[in-house]
Amino acid sequence: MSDYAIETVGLRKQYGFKAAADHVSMHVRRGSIYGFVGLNGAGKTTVIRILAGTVRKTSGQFTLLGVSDSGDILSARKKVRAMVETPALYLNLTGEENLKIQFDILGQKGDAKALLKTAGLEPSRVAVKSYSLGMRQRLAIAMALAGDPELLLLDEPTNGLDPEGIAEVRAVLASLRDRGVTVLVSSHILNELARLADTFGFIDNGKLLKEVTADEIGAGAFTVARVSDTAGALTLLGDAAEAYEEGVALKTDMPISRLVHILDEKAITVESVRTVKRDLETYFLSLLGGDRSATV
Amino acid sequence: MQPFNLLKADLRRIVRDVPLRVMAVLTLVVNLFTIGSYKLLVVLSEQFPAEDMEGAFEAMGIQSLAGSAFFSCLSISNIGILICIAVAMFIGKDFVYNTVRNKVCAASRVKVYLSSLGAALVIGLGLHVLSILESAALAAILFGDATPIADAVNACLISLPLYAGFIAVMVFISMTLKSQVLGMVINIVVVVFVPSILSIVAMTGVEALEKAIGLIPYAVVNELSMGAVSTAIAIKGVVGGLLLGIAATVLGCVLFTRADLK
Repeated sequence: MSDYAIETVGLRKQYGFKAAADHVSMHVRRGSIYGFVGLNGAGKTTVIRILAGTVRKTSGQFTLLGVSDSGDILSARKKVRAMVETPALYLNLTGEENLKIQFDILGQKGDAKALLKTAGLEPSRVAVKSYSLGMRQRLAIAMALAGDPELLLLDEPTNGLDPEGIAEVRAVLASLRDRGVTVLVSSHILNELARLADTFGFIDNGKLLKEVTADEIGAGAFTVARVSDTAGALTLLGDAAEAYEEGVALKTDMPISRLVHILDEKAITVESVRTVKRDLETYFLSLLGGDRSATV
Repeated sequence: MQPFNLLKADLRRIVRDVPLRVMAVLTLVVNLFTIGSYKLLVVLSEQFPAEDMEGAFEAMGIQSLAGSAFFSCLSISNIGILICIAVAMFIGKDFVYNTVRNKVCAASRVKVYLSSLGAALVIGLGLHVLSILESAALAAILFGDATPIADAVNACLISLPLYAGFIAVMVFISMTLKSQVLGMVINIVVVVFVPSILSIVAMTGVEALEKAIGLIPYAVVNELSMGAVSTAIAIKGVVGGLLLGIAATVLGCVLFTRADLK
């Protein structure tokens, strides 16, 4: 059995002249939570849609739960559930009816009422069109959990949820991981993703920039120096530094004394120095900012 | 047994779908209007001498007023429009709500298409049979003649395979366009207006045109709505319906399998 629940090799999706997914090669370990991070339009949803089977790839390969897409991928898809962008719900039916239909589609028997309660909803005769965005999101999550999947593909699952709801989703996903379910989740709320995911994949303009573990991100820290002439300092330091908030951030482990010596040649003074602990957001922004190494 | 799982899901939706219930009521309204209009014409014609009217009806090939009223309800512009709307609304909903994703993630595209076809057949043929039974009952009541009841059985047997073919075309249109409103419009144009135009063209008197148009399935419906019930019509109906159904379904499956879904 493959160690990976999802593996993609050179996955590509072309729309006209634009590559929405551009040779994406990613690896999602079984039983882990994989955070898929990217700006709007980066290609996260496109990749998730290809994996879920709603969009056809242009080229490349992928495997789901060890099954290649050129083989009997449907047998794997029966154990995969996806929630992509807006919740896919019959607005004229109740939450319970939507879940019963989902069980019908899966060919399984299930307790729709119990699943609703898991998602923090009460069974009622109210049609989904009267639900708030948060309630619809909870119902969509319940639909994704129907039939005990082995792999979940979740695109912005906390969209529209209040803090209590976000915490509940986090708890649900963590418990799924404890049961061995693999979760691929994309989200804009990076601090929530940081608390949940074991591994992160960063995507930008359709390209997967990097995959790192949560430990690798957390272990990183970098030096930021406030200087009298930021532009001049960046010119002097070249690839060894980049602009960061009030000053320059060092990309290498250059000693401060060396930094002062280099800047002194052009009469640039170092006004203050501090160490910034790397978090998901800073890591991501630094990746977008250039060819930044992730090492300290 | 995946297509049946998907069909079971769709049947659950059909039972709960309020617009479909409205469509079922509308079939009664449409048939009442059609037969009522026929009855009104007959009542108005009573101001003319009876022997003159009998001669006129004989010349038009009308043997039973009740029967004629019943068969006129089988015109595709009657029940056909309602079936077009009902099928497009039901199938289009899966694309408006994006719920087609839930099916596609769990089953092959072909199975999803076939289950949608199955649901559409339940809806469309259900409305059609309902319409036949309503119009037979209405005609028998308003004209005091039980002939339509027997005619209804023949009409069902002849028209069902043909309407199944038409419904397959409607499903093809709806699943390809993936839009509720556009599906309704194009369904009505293709299934109702085009045959009406062809009927007019057939009346131009050009023999070759008449023969060519007579071969297409729509012509069978026109003949049926004029009360022409025969083995030849029945065979044409079955063959026409089958050919139309198979062609539309195969092409629809191919296109749906290749489509990107939102």
